Amino acid sequence: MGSTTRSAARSGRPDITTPVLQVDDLAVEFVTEVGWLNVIDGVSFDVRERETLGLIGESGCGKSVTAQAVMGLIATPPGRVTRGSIRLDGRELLDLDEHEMRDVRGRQVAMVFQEPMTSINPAFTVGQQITEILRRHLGLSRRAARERAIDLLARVGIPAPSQRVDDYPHQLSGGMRQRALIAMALSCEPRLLIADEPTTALDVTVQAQVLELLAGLQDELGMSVLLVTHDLGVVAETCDRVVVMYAGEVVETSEATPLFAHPKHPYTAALLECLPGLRVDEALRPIPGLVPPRYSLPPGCLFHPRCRYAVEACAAERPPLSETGVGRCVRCIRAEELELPGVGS
Amino acid sequence: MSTPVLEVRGVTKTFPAKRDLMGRVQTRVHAVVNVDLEIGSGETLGLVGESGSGKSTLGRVVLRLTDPDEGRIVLDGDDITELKGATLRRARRKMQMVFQDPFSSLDPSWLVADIVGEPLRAHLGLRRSERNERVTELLGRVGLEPEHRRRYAYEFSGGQRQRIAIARALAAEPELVVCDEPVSALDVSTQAQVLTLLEELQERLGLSYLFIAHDLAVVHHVSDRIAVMYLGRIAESASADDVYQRPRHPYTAALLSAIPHPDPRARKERILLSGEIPSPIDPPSGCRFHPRCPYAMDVCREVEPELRAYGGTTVACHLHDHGPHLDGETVLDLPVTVH
Repeated sequence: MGSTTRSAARSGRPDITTPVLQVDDLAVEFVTEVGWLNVIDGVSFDVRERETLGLIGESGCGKSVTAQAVMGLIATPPGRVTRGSIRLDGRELLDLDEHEMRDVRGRQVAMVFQEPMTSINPAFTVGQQITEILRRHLGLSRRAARERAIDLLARVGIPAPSQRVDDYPHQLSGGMRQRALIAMALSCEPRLLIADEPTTALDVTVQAQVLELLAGLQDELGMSVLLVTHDLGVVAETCDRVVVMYAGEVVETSEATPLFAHPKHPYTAALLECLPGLRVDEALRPIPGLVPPRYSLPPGCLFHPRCRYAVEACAAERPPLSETGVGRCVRCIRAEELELPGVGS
Repeated sequence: MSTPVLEVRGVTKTFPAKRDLMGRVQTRVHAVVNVDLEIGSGETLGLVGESGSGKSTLGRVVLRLTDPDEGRIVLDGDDITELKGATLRRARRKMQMVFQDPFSSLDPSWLVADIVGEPLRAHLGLRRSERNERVTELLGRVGLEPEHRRRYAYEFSGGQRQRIAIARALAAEPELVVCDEPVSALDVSTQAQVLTLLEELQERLGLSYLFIAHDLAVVHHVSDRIAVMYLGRIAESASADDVYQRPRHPYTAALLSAIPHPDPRARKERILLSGEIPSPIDPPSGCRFHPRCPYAMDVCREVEPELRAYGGTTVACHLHDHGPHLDGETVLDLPVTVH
């Protein structure tokens, strides 16, 4: 009864030797009125054993497309992967056919989406949906699968799981539905969980509960998490490392703590300055304009038209993603000279 | 203080939850219970709470989109609770609204000129030629271009649509704008743009806002005062800084603690509320928050706490008079480390 407290600090450092997921030079195209268009272009990152990697950026930066590509969920048409490699424990996922991919999906990589009402089938009970996964991937009997489903619902903190298992999704609240979805995603104890805005539709109090639950389960199951979100607060609370995307490209990768304290890319710093409640008495500093659509990209650095620190050279050439420190890459020609404001500085 | 722009006095609103075979109401949802609010000229009152706290219903009652069961709504000194028809329409001119979802609150098949021009026709009776000029001016005010007039709402992004909704709200030259979660569907960057726009407009036009949201960090940023709602009742109200820095209600403290802070070095001990907001059909006895409250005492289960002034804060919590004291201070006076 009442409340519990738990340190948000997580135990143990992630093992940095073997990446669970390696995405290399990934490009995805979608067909549009003006022909095929690159939506993400040359995206590379690793997700290491037991770590949580945050993928951040505004809407339209390509974070969700990246996540869908990893899940093999880019439908052709309208989309197609044109280049690159996605390896899970060293195995190339892009070489798999749909049948093989279906075994990977749910068993080794699972996904939790933003909208718990649309990503869950309203016509089946929560129990039916979990048992189907268990029977398909683990070959459990009907009875064993049902018992396991009740177990899983209990594990994600759903009260009275043996009754809830027969509930339809609409009978659950938003927070409970998201828990049920997490139970579904974790039913086969995947190596990698992809969470796309998992708490965006939830109240802040329920969000705190769900994040706590995810962190606990991650420790327990030893899985890695790829967290796609635009909420920098959530990233700071949960992620070990962060990849910042802008207009379909990676613009900065870093460990979480230095990224927030000393952002190196002006876009990262600009995102931080949009947050209310950071510098309490200061005005917000919105980023002017919008993310450019991929059919009318500016020349040079893609961010330069919105960048406060842009100089003439920024419009001349697309800057490469260069390593500026251990585990830190930045796509900005002024990265070394700029002192950008961070959190708590 | 001069006459407040808005006074809400003892407003209660219930909805039928279940009817018997004869259509008689058996149980009712108590969405808003005996709420008092006041908003001064040029002031922003933030109204926060979880989904199901009744904050949006209260906003709709204020706008007279739904009738209260009890209580009065006083706009600019005039009681508008009983107004109907043409007199209500005239009163509505003074209060406009901006909703959460700019995708469903703007008709996608209307031209921007018609969306923004409609209040000019309905409330001010302007002719088309006069309207065009005003629409252009209003679009400029919210950072859109004159040529956007001839485009359809569906052609715009979420942030731009919210600008159109704001231009529409401003068209009738209101004194009060009720903003119901105006930025919660937007990206952080777009959110900052829209918040900044709302602040600029307030300064320039002397608007008052009732700003309804669940995100305390956003509400704190825009508000002069904040009222925290829980299950239909006001739990606490005070200046924005007092609520944010010295919460006097355990629910406020828990809400603050739940905000993820964008600094990995500040990962903190969190007050995790157990469970979810209970059903407003059958609210808990005594203090409505007691089943989730880390400090609940016997009295909290039995007696509903009254709102009482405590320092600069009005708070409904037994801890302040029945709770343990240490050196004359209650547990809620202990420093709350938010960040």
